[in-house]
Amino acid sequence: MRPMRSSIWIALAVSWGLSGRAAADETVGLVLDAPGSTQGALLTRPLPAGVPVKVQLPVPGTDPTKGRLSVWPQPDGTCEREPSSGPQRHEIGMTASGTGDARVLEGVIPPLQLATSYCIVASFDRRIPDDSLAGLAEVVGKTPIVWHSVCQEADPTGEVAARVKVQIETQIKALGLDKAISSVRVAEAALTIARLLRVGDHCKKLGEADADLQAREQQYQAAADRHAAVKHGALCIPRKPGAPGLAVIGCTPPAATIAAWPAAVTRSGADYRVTTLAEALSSPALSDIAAALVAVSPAEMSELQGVAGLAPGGRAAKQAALKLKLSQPPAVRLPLALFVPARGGYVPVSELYATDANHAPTDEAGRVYGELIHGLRDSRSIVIGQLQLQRQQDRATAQGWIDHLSALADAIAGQIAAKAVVEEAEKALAALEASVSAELVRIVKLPVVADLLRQTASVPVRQMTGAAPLSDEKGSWISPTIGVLAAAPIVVARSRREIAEGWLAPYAGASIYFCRVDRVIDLNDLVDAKRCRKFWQRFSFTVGLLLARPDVHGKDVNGPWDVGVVPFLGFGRRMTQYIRLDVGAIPFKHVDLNPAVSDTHWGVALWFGASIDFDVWALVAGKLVK
Amino acid sequence: MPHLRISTTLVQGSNQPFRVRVHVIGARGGDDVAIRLWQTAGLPPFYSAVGGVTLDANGDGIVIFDDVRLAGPCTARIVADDDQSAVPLHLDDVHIEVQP
Repeated sequence: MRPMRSSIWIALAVSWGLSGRAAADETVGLVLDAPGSTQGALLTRPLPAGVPVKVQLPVPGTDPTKGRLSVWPQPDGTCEREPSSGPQRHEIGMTASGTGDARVLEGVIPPLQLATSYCIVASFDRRIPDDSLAGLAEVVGKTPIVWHSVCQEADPTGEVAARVKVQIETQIKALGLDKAISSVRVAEAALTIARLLRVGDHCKKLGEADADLQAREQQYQAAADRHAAVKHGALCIPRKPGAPGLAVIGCTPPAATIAAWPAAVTRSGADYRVTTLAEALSSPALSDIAAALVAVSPAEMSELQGVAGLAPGGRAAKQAALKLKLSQPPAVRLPLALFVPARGGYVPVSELYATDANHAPTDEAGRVYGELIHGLRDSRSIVIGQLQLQRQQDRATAQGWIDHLSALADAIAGQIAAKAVVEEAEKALAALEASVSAELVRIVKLPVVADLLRQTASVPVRQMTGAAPLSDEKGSWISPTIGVLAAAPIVVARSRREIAEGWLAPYAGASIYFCRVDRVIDLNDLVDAKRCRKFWQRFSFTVGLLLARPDVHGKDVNGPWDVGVVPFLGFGRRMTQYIRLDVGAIPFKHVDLNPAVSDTHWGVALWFGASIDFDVWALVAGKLVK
Repeated sequence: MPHLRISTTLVQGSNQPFRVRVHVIGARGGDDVAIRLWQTAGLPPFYSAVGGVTLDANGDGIVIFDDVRLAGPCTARIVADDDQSAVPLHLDDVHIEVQP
């Protein structure tokens, strides 16, 4: 066997030794929500293979954030289902780097396989958008809380937190963020909101306001009852049949007639003046007084009207006579009528008791009562002052009415005041309830709560790795190889086939892989790529030439067709990135064992060997086949 | 126009008693009015009651219903209208969220 020149060996070994494998990090950016993109994000450059890759995700701002990168090979389909395990599946943490608008989350993923599709999912925390937070705050502000129940619970804060949690969950679901914000965070945020709300303080204030309102309601009820008692119990004004309230049985109304002349009420500017009728005889408003009174007591007041109709010169004698008459009680009891300023006339009290066929108060009776109490509200002294003058002539009747109307006026005033107080208490309670709502809105917008309600965004990218950079062999499909083999030649001897003495020979050739070979990824982690099954990453054909000519029967063999070099063909498997084991066959021609026979014979040697793939040759080959 | 106004807290607990105030506004002074408060939507049994008040000189008054109970959870609607009054009173209604 003649070896080839060792200088070739040395050159190849140096070349192999000098060739380096690129190890520098490559940087790739992730662009979120790129216009027109159908994926969650896009990469800023082709994904390199064979080198660690730094992935950067822009996260401008100052709020705390962190992220996670999940990477796995995905020959086809989408990145929706992340495998829990498998070759080349990586889970990498991302940390923030930089500040302000230049801040990024970055993580370094290990080298990726050549010409293979990967899913890269970046998951990171970020605050929900400001407008979503504002909407969430408004919804939380409307959290329905039954305060008088909640405040009686053993843990009012927990109760409020539970209700706030429901509101948050509803709103984030409406915003489509329910998968991005974990239920743990929602619960934590709800509890924080409830604690910041100081539920105990609100319970105390609301409880006090409600108790105050209830007390005012009771006071109003008492005032209204007093009014009703005077109206129906003292004045005995009939109640409508079926109307709520206790019916007063056997109530005797006060006298509707009086043995006294009515008082005269005259107007002086905006004021009213009450005088006796006798004193009013000399009043310039006598005719008005007479006209008003004659409508109430036509017979008794006709004389007054007559005097009022006389000319001033002829009136004196009649006035004197009438004055004397009026200074005494009337001969008969007159209908009791009171001047009510709002009406501008006299109201006969008998009209308060008018009923219809069903014994229900007439509409007119109701209206008269309304005018009376209206007068008592605005002109109490005018109304009661008339009775006080009439008391001089009919003490009993007048005093009775004075007492009733005074009580009625007091009841009316008390009822009006009590109503105002109830309304004040209602407003105070409503303001407190509104303040809770406003407080909830404010609290949700606080940074401490907004930071809790962080969404975890996941953006998937699926991309195929491109060419490996720099001086790696660029993943060529063909590699020069050099090795040594052991062969068992099968020769013809004495007209029969036999196995001759074995060969041990160096060889050189090319490994043909039928797809681009990734020599960075660990052999056990290789995965099927779309255009290259991992089988063909490890197995290949080998063709080449023996570097020494073996011999048979002491004579050098030739290659086919008697050429001086011996080719071989093999099929092998990469055991490491560069070292392979091969088996194959070597066709050759040899002379006959009998030196007298000049014929040559075909032989074939079956061999197995070990070789090393080279990348210098691949570097050249890469340029040629680009 | 004479009308009614319901005043109460709009969030209540299921079957928990609460108070409702029905304000009568601008009616005839001194009138004895009867106001009906009744439930028109929500879960049965539907609430219904009648209360009355003698209006003050302004024609105003408050009818207090102090034991209103609503079944829940639901959104109940309660209406106040006049059962008896000298002048028609425009009704009022509110929706109450009844919590479980």
